[in-house]
Amino acid sequence: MATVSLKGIKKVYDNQVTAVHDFDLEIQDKEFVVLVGPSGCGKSTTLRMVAGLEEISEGELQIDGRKVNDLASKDRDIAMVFQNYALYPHMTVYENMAFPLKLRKTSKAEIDRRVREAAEILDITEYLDRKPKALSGGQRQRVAIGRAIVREPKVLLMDEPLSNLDAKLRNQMRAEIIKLRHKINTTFIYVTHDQTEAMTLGDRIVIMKDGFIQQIGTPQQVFDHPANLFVAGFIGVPQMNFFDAQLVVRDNRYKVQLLDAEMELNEAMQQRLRAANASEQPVTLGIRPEHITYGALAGQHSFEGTVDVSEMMGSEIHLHINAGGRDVVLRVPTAELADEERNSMCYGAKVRFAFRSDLIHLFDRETGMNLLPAVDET
Amino acid sequence: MKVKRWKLATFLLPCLLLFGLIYLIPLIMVIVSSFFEWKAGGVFNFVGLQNYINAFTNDPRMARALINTGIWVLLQSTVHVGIGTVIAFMLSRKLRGWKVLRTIYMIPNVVSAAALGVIFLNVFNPKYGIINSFVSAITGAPFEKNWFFEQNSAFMTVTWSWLLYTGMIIIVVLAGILAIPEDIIEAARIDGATEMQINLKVRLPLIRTVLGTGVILAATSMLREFELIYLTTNGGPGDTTLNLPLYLYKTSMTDNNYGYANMMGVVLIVAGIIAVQAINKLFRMNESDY
Repeated sequence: MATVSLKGIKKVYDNQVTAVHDFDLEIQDKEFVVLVGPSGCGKSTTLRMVAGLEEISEGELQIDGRKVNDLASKDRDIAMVFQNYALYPHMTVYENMAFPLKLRKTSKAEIDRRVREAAEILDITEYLDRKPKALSGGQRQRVAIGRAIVREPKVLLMDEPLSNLDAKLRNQMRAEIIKLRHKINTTFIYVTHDQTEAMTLGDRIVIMKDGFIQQIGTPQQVFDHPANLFVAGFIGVPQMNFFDAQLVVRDNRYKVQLLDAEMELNEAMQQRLRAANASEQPVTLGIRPEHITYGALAGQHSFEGTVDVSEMMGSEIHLHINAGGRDVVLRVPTAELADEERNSMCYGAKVRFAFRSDLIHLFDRETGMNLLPAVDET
Repeated sequence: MKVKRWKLATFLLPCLLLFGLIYLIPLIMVIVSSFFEWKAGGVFNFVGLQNYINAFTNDPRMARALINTGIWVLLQSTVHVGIGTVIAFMLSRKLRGWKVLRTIYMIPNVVSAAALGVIFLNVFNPKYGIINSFVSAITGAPFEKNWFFEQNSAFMTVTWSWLLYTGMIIIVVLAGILAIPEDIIEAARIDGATEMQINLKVRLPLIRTVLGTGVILAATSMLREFELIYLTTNGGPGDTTLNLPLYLYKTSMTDNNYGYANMMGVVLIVAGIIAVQAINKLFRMNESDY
């Protein structure tokens, strides 16, 4: 249980490659923060700097208000769960979990109590006498988590802990981690490249790219108000649709020209654009697949296109539509569709769709920044 | 893919024939002739276990050779492997120049035993050897110890000529250490282990089978050590540095007592099998942790 503060943290490798640039983040006590981004974005490097496995090139790292830049990993009172489990292959599950406590010269009775308690929480009591090689991937990761929590560390670091598991097990373990989090009450820093994990686990998400923080916010904030094009495209499945459009001003009101239509913007958007002093300019319009309605929408301009691909997901259909040479993806919930309607969404079918203009995003074509930032951006 | 038996046999035959001619037939001959009195001049009489009984009850040279071989096997399996392992652990920290050091340690392994023998004879030469010159220079008094040929130093001097040169062990153990997944070591570091604790409680147990391989290499090398002793002391003074291979050679080539020599060959083979099996068991070579 501790606060973690990263101030201007930078990592430059010996070959002068900068992996992390000026990373600033204040993590509250018992907060669950997820670092997310594509491969090579610097998220694992940042975590490893917190762990003490990588030297910090510049900046200050504090745990519970104490500067720990020069402290060895063992003196930082942190624990870490690795992607490849990193269990000691020559020790049994019990010995693996007891190892950090033994090193701290904890009494035998106390070790036994804590190991059994952690094993109980993680449902691995029956495997305590087994060696790691006799366990499945999911069981191994539970042991690795067990080894991390027996110590009751100030901060629990997790480096893509679910990446080696199959899809079903990953979903199951994700739920387990959420439950665990409420049981053990510590500060979590979790690294993943999977935006679903980030959205479901984190109190706050830090989205990174090329060593730079793109946005920090709650899952809802980054979903509703992505700071830039990258975040907009990264968060959300299927990803947001982007179109080249034009922001125009007519009678002192902002409008967006897209394809053959001119879209009205609601009052809130008008105010924000006015506050940002936005001028007429080329913009990138973004809209999430779930914010495009199938069929015409009263009071909105509707577009026509032909179905390229229809992906049946069970509860919804992902329709890839070609509209004037642009690919548009929309999600159509199947529950409200009649059978013949569902069957008609096949390759080559002509369909109409409309944008919910209150849910569109506008990005500066040049900088990629959101022109409608959230009012209470963190 | 299913391969026809005759095709398999065709490809294996040359190898099997060579193996049979070079190893199998001589091996059988060695074992069979160890039960015969077989000497120069056409003497060839079946004597049953007499050679063995004689060797183990009535042959002080055999006893000396066995004891020396045993001591050397033991020293090589423990001290030699131990030194190599410690150096490998130091090199595994990859401090500046570790690759150069690793190569330097291999030099004695690439120099022929004959050349090494000559080098050591010169190094320990009583008159102009570097050791004695060094002692003389320090003490200021002439020092002319005949290291290889004095009763009290011969065994130790011969032992020095291989005990410290652990290039092979270093290479094998170092490869084992470097093959340990880095995240296991990082996990130990985060769990609170010091470098020493990581070495003793994580790395060392994880290179168990590699160490076993090293011990097998070291032990068996001493069961066939011949050239260095032959070239330096030739088993002397007296029989102080006589080992089993050298005694075998002398019995066969000097005494022309082939049956007796082949009995020693059988003893060496059995000793080798026992040593390898014991080491296999000790290091649980058949079990993998991964």
